[in-house]
Amino acid sequence: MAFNSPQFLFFFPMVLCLYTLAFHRARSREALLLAASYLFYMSWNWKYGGLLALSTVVDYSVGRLLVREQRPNIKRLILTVSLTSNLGLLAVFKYYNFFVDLTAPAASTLGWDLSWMHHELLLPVGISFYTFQTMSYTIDLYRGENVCERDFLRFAVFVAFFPQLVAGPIVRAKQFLPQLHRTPNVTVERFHDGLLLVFRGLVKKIVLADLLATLAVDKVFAEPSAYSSWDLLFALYGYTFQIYNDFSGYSDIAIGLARMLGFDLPLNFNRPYLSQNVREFWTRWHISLSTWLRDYLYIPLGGNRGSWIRVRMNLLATMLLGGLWHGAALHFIFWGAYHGVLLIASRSTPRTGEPAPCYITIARQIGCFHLIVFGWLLFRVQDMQTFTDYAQGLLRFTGGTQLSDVFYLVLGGAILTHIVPMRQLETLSAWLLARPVAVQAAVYATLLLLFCGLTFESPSFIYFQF
Amino acid sequence: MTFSLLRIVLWIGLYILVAEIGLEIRAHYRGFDTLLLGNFQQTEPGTAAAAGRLQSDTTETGSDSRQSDAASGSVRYWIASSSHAEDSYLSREVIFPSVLERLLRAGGIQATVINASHAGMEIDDNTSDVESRGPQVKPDYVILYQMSSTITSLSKQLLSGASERMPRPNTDKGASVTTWRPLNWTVWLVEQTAIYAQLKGHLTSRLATKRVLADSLGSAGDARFEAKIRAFIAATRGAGAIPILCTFATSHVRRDLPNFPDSAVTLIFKYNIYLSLAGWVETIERFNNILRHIAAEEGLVLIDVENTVAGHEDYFRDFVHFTPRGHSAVATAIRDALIANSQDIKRQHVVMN
Repeated sequence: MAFNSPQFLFFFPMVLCLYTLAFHRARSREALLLAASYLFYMSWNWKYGGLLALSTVVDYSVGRLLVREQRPNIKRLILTVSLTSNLGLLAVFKYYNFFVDLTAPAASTLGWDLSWMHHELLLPVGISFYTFQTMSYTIDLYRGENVCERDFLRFAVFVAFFPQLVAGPIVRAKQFLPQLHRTPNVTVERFHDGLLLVFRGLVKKIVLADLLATLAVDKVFAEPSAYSSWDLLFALYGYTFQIYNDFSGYSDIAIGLARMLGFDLPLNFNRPYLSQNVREFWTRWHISLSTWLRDYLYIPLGGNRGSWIRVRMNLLATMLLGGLWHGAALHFIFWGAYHGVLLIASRSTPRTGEPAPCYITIARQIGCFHLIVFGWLLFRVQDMQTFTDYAQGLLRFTGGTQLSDVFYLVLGGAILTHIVPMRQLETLSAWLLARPVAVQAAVYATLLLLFCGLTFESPSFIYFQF
Repeated sequence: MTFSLLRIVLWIGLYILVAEIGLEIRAHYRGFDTLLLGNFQQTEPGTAAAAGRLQSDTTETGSDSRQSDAASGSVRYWIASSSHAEDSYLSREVIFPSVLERLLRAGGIQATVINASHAGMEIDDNTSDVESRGPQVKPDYVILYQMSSTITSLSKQLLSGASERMPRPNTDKGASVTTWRPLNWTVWLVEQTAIYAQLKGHLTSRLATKRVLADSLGSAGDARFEAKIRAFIAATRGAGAIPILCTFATSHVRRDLPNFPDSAVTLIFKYNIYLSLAGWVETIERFNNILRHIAAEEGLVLIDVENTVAGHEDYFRDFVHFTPRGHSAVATAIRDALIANSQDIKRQHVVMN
């Protein structure tokens, strides 16, 4: 049940009605949120619910044990149980076959047949998101940076909260659990603001991301040799804005839905393609993941402390694992490594701290943007052969286009919405929010119909697969 | 939090409901069945035919809802097709299975034509239908006229990367044939609305023409089509009947490619967002050649409907559905071919029995 599916169109208003009824009784409200979240998650596959429950029970128990235990060695052991269980889930469901397939050719040269070790495993939707979320809870508890949640129901809601369950933002316990301890902050302004965010996310997803994909990107990436360099370049730009609008659209919807229910989720994107260097990009792109990797991987590895080479190695290792987090495939690892190298290069560039002239800023933004764009090529291709074909096609410098005017129009719209100053968007939002409810609703109803007409086959959100 | 907060959600719902009712009233008076206002009982042949909306499901749930009720003991012809032969927009008397029965009887053949066609069926459905009901109905000949639904289904499988739609048997009112509906009731509900039909027809289909479309289903498409036809032949023979194949005809052909009318284009892209116009023409030609090849190889009678009917705009109300004149022309083509090959068919019948 994706946010852009007809099912969700019935599901969420139903949840809202029941939530309103249960709102003033804390236990009923939490029980309803939990039931709705499991229903939402199990709509993909009912078996997924078991894994989510397992992760919840393990980390809740680990949390309770951690606060009772004073001996450092035993605390470390308890933490290891939590990490092993969460990473074990990821290892089995996400990475097992990848490593079997990776080692099979080498094993076959030694005469070992590993094909029997390959099993068809269903990758549970959003597993990387909720395992990272629960891991952060136990690690923070271990470090003494978090308060243990004694109430199982509240903890279960924290793990399974449906707006952000399958594709983030990855919420820290210290951000979310305190909100569950008080009455959610629902006001008319926040409710309408949340609804506006939901529709903004849907516009990003359906009008920009999906149209870019269906009008050109999917076809061009499926057969790059059939297109000119011009088309390949613009399809790559198309993918660059597709993935941004797809993922940031999802985040906007998640944040908006949570706000309508009275909760605040952290910002996940901040117009990343306006970054002047790759370091800045990672403070604007998938912020909840990059800060997670910084706090729970990069800093424990040593962070900025240590020798020149050690710091670079820490950066590279963090980005490699960040790449692997996105998927069990070599191209994701290469993508992570590519960004690791860019970050190392970015660190080595001296920073003056003085504001640069406008044209320098723009030149840096364009340069950084194209480095990111090239990275998306590694990210999007399914195998290295397609990458080679695509890259060779780009370097042929051939002209002519098979892409339609509508594609270029949508791409232009995506670029424009990215670069238009925030205050313009805020003015537009404020104007709409100041209209009577009936006028706002007319705008949303029109948009819903437009979404229906623009949807070919309800493609899923890209980040669901991670 | 109080219910007054949900006012905006109710307003959105209200606007959509008003739009739906308005469009349904319009559609109802134009002769279409709608979600809220129900089925329009058409009395005058052809009045709704020009509008071009295809129903996703048969309006009559009986498996042989449009079956002729001739006396038993006659030669039984089973028409395995889809909306082309069911054609709920026209009266029963003018659709080609009924015309065929009249023509055969007028020629002295005591014939019963069983119309086992339902909108949305494709060759696999016809095959399952023959397998499941063939032994009870005991047809002597099964005539297959089917292609566009199969092209759409193959396009989805080969060009979108999506998996095949899963069947859900429709057990409503004792229907024995497998009908095809989306699995989820919310999707089904949305797809039944007049708003959805309008948006798909006027917005999605136009937008689909702006996609990068494929010009062919490639050799994989040919192989899958051939496999479907061979499975149909095997199922028909398994049911003790003789398969008869028909080539497929469309209102516009290769020579019309630069000038395909809007009505044809809209219908094509409403249901298939993967193949270009050239791709459709190419695929139909290739698949018709496969039918000819298989018929020759298997010693089957082939009725070349394409040769007789294709490209005659007055025979079609859209790209693939017939006008009453078209139905008559198809029935005549089938009758002529059956008579011309009567010796051959009889010989096959003797061999079979």
